[in-house]
Amino acid sequence: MATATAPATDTHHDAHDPHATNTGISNNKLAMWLFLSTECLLFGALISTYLIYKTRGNGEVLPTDLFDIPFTSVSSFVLLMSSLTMVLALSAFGRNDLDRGKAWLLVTAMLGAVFMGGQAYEFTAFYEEGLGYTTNPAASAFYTLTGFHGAHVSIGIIMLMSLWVAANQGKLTGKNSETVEIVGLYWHFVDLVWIFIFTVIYLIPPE
Amino acid sequence: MSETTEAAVETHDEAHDDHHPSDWEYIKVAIILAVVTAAEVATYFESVFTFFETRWILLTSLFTMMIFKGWLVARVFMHLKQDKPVLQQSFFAGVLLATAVYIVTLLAFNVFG
Repeated sequence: MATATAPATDTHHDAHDPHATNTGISNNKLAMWLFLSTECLLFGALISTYLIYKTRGNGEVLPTDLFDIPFTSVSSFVLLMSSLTMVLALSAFGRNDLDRGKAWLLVTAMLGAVFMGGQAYEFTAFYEEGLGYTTNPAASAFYTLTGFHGAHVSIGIIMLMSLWVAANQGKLTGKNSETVEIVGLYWHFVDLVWIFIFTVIYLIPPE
Repeated sequence: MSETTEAAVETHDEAHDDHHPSDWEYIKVAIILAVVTAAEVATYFESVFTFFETRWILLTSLFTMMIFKGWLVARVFMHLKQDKPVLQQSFFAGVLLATAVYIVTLLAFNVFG
């Protein structure tokens, strides 16, 4: 290869360094997908545990007695729409439209915070109705499942805010938008899990 | 840039031409997700609930809508449609393993009656 060509090629490889792997996929992205794959087993275990224990109330109130479906539907809608704003953020960073990308990141984090506020309200309302964490096996399984999901949403909000701060400091641009994509994968997965929880736990009526 | 390098760069770019959907396509998918969610929630209300004559019809409808929503999010928002098949295989390996393991677990605990 001519000497003049070599630096151009090097620069090109630097720009696409994350893809210089055997699979042609960046290691970070592959690692996130593998992580999400294992998360299916975690949430599968938590959902199954709830389904096994959901009728074991020991004569006390059950979570299914207290569900407020219209309220939870609004929370679900908010989380669903946060997936849209997340993907719009990624799209904006891909176009190097940093202002819009930052705005969508912030909106996504805020929608996540609204969802968490809804969960905090739901937990408080349930507790005031006499459903504590150790009231019965059904309550423990319910709080563990939804609590774990809430912890994932909270971690997602922290990651989104970190991206927003990095973008404001000029450390996140269109060139390294893959970071936004990887955080986005995590966020969409959290939404995906809630789609399953909402149907299986909340919407399927007790027999 | 030499012709060889240009060709290499073009080939490289083609290999990573993700063809991600436009913003409008994302919005259209979000509208579909919202409509399906509304249909799911409608089954909760007594007037709609009685439309489903047996529990199995209701369960089948809810599970179909749930899987459709999950599939849309994974395929469009998570870009599984455009990304390399190995990512899809990695993810669905976990989904299928979890589904199989926990269906067996639930059957063992007689959850389905």
